[in-house]
Amino acid sequence: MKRTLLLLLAAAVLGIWLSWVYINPYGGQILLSQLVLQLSGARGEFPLSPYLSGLLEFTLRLVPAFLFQAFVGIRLYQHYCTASVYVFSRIPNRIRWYAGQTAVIGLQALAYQLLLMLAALVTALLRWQVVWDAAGFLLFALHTLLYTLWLIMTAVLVNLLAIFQGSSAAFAWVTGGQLALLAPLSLLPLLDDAPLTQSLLVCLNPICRLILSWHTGQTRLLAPALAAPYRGLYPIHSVVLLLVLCAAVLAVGAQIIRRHDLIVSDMESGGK
Amino acid sequence: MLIRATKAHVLFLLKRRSAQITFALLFAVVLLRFVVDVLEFRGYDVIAMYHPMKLLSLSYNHIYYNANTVILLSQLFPLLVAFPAGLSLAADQASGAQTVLLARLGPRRYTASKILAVIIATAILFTLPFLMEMVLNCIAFPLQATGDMSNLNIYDPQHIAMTDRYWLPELYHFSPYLYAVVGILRFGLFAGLLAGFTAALSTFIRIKYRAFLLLPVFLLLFYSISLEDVSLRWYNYALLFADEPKNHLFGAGLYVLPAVFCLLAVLCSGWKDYRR
Amino acid sequence: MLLSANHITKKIRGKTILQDISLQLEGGNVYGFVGRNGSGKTMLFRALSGLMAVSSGSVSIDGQVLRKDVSVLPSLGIVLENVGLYPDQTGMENLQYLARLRGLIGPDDIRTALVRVGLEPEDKRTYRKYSLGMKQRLAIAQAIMEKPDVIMLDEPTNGLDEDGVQLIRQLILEEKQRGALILLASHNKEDIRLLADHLFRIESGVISQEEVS
Repeated sequence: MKRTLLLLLAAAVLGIWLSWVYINPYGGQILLSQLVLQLSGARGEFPLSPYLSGLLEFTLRLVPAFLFQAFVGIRLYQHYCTASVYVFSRIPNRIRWYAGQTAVIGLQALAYQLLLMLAALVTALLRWQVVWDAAGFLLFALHTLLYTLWLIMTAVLVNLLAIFQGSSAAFAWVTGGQLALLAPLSLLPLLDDAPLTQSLLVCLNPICRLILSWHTGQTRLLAPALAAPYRGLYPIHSVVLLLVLCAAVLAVGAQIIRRHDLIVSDMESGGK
Repeated sequence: MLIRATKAHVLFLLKRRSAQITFALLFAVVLLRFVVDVLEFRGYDVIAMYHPMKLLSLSYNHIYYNANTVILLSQLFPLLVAFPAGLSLAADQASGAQTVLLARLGPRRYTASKILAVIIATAILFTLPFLMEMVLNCIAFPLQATGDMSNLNIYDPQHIAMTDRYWLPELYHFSPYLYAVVGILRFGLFAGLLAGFTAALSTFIRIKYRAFLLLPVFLLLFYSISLEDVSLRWYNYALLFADEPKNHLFGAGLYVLPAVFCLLAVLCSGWKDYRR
Repeated sequence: MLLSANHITKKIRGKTILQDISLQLEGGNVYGFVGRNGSGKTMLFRALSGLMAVSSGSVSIDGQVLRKDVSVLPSLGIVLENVGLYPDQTGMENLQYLARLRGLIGPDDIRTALVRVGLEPEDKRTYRKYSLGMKQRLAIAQAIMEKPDVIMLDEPTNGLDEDGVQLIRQLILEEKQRGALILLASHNKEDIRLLADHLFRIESGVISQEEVS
């Protein structure tokens, strides 16, 4: 409980930080839709730029996600570390236990992301004039959903890897993997003459699903709000893809939890 | 005995899987960069060709053309730097091996030799791949090439002003190759000091889950990138050919402060109780 | 060789762990320490080794004060609770690394120590895969391999089978013959009866000498 409260406090602080650093509209007024887009890498009215500065700035927007992965990434793993035999000898149905734990991770992810967004919004409200537009509400919900799914997927992945490799290696692999996904995006300007390749690079790279300003709005509401510099990214596809990836990670996790032999467990002290 | 102990620790750290993975990863990045450059610049006239040292993975000059390796390295560096060796002191605490090490060396000698070993081992891992890349570039690309990726003529006043903002511009003007060697060694030292900082931190705070130890350096370096003032970004003082304005006090602090922190950890280790 | 504790007291967060303990321990003897769980035996070993500072009093070895003239005992082999080694190294690799720190012994001495505790030097299994008894044997091997002047053993026969217990008892007697000062904490009355020349009982941090029965 204490850890969850600390996590939520961190979400609030990080939301305020993100808003303070990245929401600075010229003229003192900002649309809600623009505010949400800026939280996923846009700069003013411009979508995220695939150059060094843009990509590094986007990485900074992922820092709250990395922190979540570090703190929640031990939720399942800690039971393997602390008293695994004593814990699991009392749990005849590991899958049910796993489902319960991942449900809690899901709720924590949702609360974290929602609080982060709300803190950012409230901070912006106090500093600037926020103009409410319908697209903004939709984008707010979309942003929250996509990032929540991403948090769940990555946090569970850290937990699962930690069972085999220890928390530091697991965190390094998952975070490093996300950072490595960003680097190829710098090739996008070089592919302006090859729009199909450009589109493929964007569609196949899962991290692009978090960059709202690169999406194409298919509805009358969203189309004007989304700049869509690259073809192929649609909000509904992103939601479905992240849902599928999340489900896949959870399914694999269920198998691991069910089958993993408790011969060595506490990887922090080397496996005892 | 300090030197002998440090040597033993360094050899031990370099044999660990985390060190091998880090080396492999960095070498893979370097190799990827090299292969891409070879394929791209095949057949280029030497007059049109970029300077071989400006093609290195650590070259900030890439931001004018194809910055994916620089982006990858500057993203991964904050995470990777502590990974191979920076967590070893915490690992000793967790496994219980610290007691037998302390019994042999005493607290100060153990802490000093361990932190020194972390710095040296990390420096080696973050230097060797790039020195190897330097050799590869010297073999594959014409040494007479002088081009800059900004495509400015090297006699252009703008280019001269740019190079004057490099770290040790006189060294660069004297010999870009020597500049690259010294720059790579500096990069390795920077990595080593940050890893040493992480190890030193673990002497003050005992944490069960070592993932949290990766966070301080990770967050501090990313915070540095988030600052508006470009002269306060860490990569300006670690990468080669970084032509952004410099804050020399900040740059010196990046190297001095971790070193001082490590020294503090060694001094304090002599006063601690080792009850666990 | 003389290890002295002069009126040492240790308090942690207001609680007295060791109370006014004075000892004169000479080489070539086995000193047994008995007491209930939590009585302070391990804490005493940590204080006598220099791993833990004392709140008052001093510990000295041949006139040199620990934590002042020297940080820890200059020649010490120690086996304590919760002490482990490197999980992804074999037993031999673990001991080779420890031996390299001071450079006092070579691979042959390490092999001898492993054989003396009943372990196979060529065993390719990593420490992670060792049983509790094997880990205990390896811990003892690292404590004796450099032939230290002082050996502190906290429950050395924990987790050992009958043959292992006999082996370790024999080993302790051999080390005593060599002239080492041996401190032995054990709940096993047979260990104390067969090995200890002198016996101390610790109760709530207070020490008293007893007859070895």
